[in-house]
Amino acid sequence: MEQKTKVNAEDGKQELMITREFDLPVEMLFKAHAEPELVEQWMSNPFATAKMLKFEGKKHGCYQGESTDANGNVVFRSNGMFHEFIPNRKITRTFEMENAPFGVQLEIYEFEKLTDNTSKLNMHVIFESVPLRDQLLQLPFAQGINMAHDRIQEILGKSK
Amino acid sequence: MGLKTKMHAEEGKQDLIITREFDLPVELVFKAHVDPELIVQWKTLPNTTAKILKFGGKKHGSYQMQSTDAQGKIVSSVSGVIHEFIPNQKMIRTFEVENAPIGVQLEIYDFERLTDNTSKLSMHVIYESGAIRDQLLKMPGASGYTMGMAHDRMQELMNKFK
Repeated sequence: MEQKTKVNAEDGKQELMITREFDLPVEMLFKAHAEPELVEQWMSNPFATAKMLKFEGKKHGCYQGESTDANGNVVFRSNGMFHEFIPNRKITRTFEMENAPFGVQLEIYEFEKLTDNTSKLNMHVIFESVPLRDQLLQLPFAQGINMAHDRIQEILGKSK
Repeated sequence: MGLKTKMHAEEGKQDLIITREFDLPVELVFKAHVDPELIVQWKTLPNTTAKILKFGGKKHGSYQMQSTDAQGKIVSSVSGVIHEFIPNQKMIRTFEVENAPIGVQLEIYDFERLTDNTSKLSMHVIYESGAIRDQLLKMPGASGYTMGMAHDRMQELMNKFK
């Protein structure tokens, strides 16, 4: 099945453009990114349970999350800060995977209303270098984010 | 004057590398970047007065600075968050000039000890796009020379702590 989340990685650039359209009002799409309980739900998958250890959803707030496997081992932990946090419109944040060689990323999320019941997420992810970006793309990154977005649609779609 | 700071902007990229060696111990170069009372003395635009409204000098802190002209009019207001803060080694922050169409920058400062009395600052500044970087480089005050002048002021300011 074709993935609905499109990851565009232009050759030789240190950034990614990721887009996805949702059958959700923009307010719900934003909520999925702004409420820690919801983030935990869609970041979790059959192999790992996500937990937000810290989540200050506001301008200049910080966050930290971790995922654990079925045995309770921490699979990964990430943290960053919200540089900008405009409800239903925009989140600009830093992101770092702890103890991983990917550096720090600057991530710009734009939430766009299409119709009353559909919306579009535009993610612009900027890396410290081209090799760091390309290294991340070696992992099943595009599949992972597509699955996570599928879960946003599924979880929030129920409460429409 | 101003020429000791090197700025490297590779064609077609969206980042800049800025390096400068100081005749200062690494601790003093770091201090000059994180002590609000020192920052306002060297990190100012010509003919302006800088004021730090907020400076959370720690991991996950945030900062806000303002520059005013001789008449007290605000000429620029900048702010951002501090993602990483390792004394005498590293600072990673975001940077934004409010009400300017140049987006947000990710800035990585590496402070490197060369000898007991010399050190090197490496700044890696990453923009939202190559076009924004190139546009900024054309503006007066954004050149390596202007930053070099600020670094000259910093060298002079910090000499008295040696």
